[in-house]
Amino acid sequence: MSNPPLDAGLVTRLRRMLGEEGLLTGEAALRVYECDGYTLEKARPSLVLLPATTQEMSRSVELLHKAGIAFVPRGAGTGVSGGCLPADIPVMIGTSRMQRIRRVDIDNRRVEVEAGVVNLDVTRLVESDGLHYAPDPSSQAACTIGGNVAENSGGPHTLKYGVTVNHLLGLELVLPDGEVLQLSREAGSGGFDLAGVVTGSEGTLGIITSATLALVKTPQAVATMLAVFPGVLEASRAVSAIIAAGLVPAALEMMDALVIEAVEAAYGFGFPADAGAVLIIELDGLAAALDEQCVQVTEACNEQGASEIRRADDPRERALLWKSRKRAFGAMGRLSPSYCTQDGVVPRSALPQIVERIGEIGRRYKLRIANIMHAGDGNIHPLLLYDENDPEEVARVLDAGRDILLACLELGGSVTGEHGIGIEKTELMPASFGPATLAAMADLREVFNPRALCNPHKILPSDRHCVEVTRPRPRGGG
Amino acid sequence: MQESQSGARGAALAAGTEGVPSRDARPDETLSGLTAPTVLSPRDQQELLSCVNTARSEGLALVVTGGGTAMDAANPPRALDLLLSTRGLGGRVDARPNDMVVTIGAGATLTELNRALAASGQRLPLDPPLAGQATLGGLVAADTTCSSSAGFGCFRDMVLGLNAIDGSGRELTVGGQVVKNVAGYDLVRLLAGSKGSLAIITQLTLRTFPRPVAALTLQYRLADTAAAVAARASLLDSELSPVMMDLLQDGGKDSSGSSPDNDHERPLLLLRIEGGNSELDYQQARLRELLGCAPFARSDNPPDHHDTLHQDWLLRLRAISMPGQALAFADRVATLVKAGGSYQLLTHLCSGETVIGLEPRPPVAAGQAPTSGRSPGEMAALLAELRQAAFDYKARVVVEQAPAELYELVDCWHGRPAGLGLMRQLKKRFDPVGILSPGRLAGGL
Ligand SMILES: Cc1cc2nc3c(=O)[nH]c(=O)nc-3n(C[C@H](O)[C@H](O)[C@H](O)COP(=O)(O)OP(=O)(O)OC[C@H]3O[C@@H](n4cnc5c(N)ncnc54)[C@H](O)[C@@H]3O)c2cc1C
Repeated sequence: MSNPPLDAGLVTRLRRMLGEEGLLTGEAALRVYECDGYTLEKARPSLVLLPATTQEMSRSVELLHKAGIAFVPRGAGTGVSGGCLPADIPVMIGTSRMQRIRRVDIDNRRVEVEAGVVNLDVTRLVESDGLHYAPDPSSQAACTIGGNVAENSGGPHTLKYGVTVNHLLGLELVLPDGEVLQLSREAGSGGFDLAGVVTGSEGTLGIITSATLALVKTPQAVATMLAVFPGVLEASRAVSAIIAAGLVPAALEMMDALVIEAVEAAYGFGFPADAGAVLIIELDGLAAALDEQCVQVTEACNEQGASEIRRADDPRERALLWKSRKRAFGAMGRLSPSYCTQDGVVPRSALPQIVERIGEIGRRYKLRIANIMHAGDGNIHPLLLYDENDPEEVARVLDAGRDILLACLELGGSVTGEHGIGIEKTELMPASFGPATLAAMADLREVFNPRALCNPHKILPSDRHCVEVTRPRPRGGG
Repeated sequence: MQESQSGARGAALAAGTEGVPSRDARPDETLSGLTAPTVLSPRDQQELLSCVNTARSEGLALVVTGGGTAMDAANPPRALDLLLSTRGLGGRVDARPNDMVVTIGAGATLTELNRALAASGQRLPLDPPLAGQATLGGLVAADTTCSSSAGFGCFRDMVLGLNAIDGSGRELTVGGQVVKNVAGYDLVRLLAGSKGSLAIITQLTLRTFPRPVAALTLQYRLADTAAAVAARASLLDSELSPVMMDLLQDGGKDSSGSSPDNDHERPLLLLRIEGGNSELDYQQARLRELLGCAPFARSDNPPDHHDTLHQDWLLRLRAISMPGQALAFADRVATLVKAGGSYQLLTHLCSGETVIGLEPRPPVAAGQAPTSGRSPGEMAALLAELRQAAFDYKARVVVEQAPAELYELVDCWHGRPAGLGLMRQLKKRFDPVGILSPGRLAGGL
């Protein structure tokens, strides 16, 4: 699908303001912008703007607003729910030229960075001061802070440290009419937490141009353990047992046999060939505490039938273990031509149930489903494997994915823990919230975005006409 | 129905809220200097809804009250027809320790919650002032800062989901029951900290945390503010993360008559550490090294300094600055207030907030007229002076409690929040008639 061409006068004005570097047109240049990590649908923008400063951003948005033209913000495009799909949206506005570090303030444990700064670079900036930025999505080497705030991203270490919103101190926001706001989350303002509200709003309330982020002390000691189980059920029970023992690990991640097979082939960590599931358990804090906690973890895992428990003390071994986990999605291509990632949440204690339900759904739809999970948070990422040349199988993948998310809701969970609703899951919103709550959400959006020019058709169900559904090759992860 | 509610509105109120327990307000049930004529105490969502709907159709202004611990920390409402108490909305506690989650009525107090959680080895680790009185709904609505926010963040960080009724009578269920959830707009963020001016919170789903094996409160006397600045720096640079890092400073002439010990005016550093036994030993040894002295007091119990600060002073302000500037600004505050009598300053070293207690409350037993303190005019002048000084520190000073007359002279809020225009529109959407705490927030929100 393509969007209609824009008024030449407007394009000229934008080009004059942004320069050649700041404005992309033409087939070849626009191709990369036709989808994000959610590739089931594609749409090409007519124009991509890359403002380099807040002022340029604000002026661009103001011009588009005056002309009544819809636009969509984009960071690195690693989103996996089609949040920055330009469906019926002529203009895309990227933040890739807004990468300045505005302030590193060690004494106050905070940094202010522009929206286009990559997540991992924030930690690189301050690690020599013994600090880090805690939210660590698996895509952290590519995804941007603007995208993280827009998605309220999590990551393996959010079990102990919380998600993006828990580390956000303030935002600079360009409203859909071009006005620039400096929103602080400090106490005692006598107003509402607008920066908090914008977090997780998937680019529909304005464009974030910078964020002030809280920094966290890098722990004195870290213990990373690998526990091997006969199957996913036993591993899920071990997760519950660890939580029940009163431990809050920094991370508690699970991979099942299919995922292990793929990552072993890709990275050669040395997972046992017959492992039914593994848990990666990371404890951190004071060295004085860790040995005792490792003993407790070992006991909990043994009680649930772990066949092997290893502590990765060597930093290289630890790094390889995390690489195996964080890059697991990249390895999946070895198992199947395509796969589709879902992102549901269940109460931690319901992991064994959802795992059984996923197995059932896989059998019912005759699909292979691999499981990777932020298990400690109850956040599951089932990967539905398929062959894109088999349209009938594609249809089964979509139905099975929906059934898994509905099963999460039935178990008291949510249809998304970190990937967002985007364009992908808008139909699941009425299953998640009642009409009054949906109406309140619509109110919120209309206040910020009254003319629906900023990233329309996302989050809330709308009567958008269908975009072309291309041959799927969904990837993405968590 | 009492006399002040006479006339058509009173009758309509009585008719619309029939069956909802109602009574006259007690003289001490004031908010920002005003007394409400009537207190309604709905016992469930349905009764609450009938109160909201009646207020809506009759155009009655209502203020929500929980435990009544933070009723003075905002401007007086433009109108006040009734006080709506949420204390009746306690109800069943649904604790799910294996999920580290609890669901509870908004009218329950934090102490009630923690008592219910104790058996399962869980807790909500925040320690606001007057936790036995403050309700969870109120704590979330006010987003009260705690001493243990150093270790655990704010109340808004604890909320996973909530039920609420907004000013247009909509029954909202926002957020969820699980620890991670990004489905839809996060209305929890909008309501947490909105101080009852958009919606009335009826039920909360909160994160819980395992109780530590052991915990200790340690108190250190420091030589002076310079020593406190150094102590803060070395604590921050160390591997330690005390869950509480507070500095308490007393000063001015002591009008309460108690004879202070020699150290009375030296800053008191209060730390609370938690963990397993070996962790606690390690932390104590390291603290001795870092601070160069042993604590003069040590206790298993959490300290009650925050409570007493709330109870002992007639005028309470809060200064908000960057953490690194907080002690410098507190010093400046001390210089400006000390001539006018005794004072107490409590600085949360991590958040950079300083609670300022002025005008000691006369001891009840004494039964004599209060010692002559500042007049309301002098208080207003002092506040203006503090706000002027705050400018140099990029700080703000807000009023949290004051004698009634002061509310007529000052704005409790210091300046206007960015995005006030959007906030006003949000207020219109969620409370179209303006029945919920009209005018209590900044900029007349
Ligand atoms: C391999 C892989 C692993 C992943 N792992 C995780 C994980 O562990 N945890 C997790 O939470 N997510 C994960 N994700 C999802 C994704 O990386 C995150 O959602 C990330 O925050 C998106 O950042 P981005 O810069 O790529 O944003 P984009 O994809 O460019 O945009 C995402 C959304 O944010 C909006 N947006 C972007 N920038 C701005 C801005 N400046 N202002 C306003 N709106 C904006 C867009 O319109 C869009 O709706 C993973 C994705 C992949 C491909």
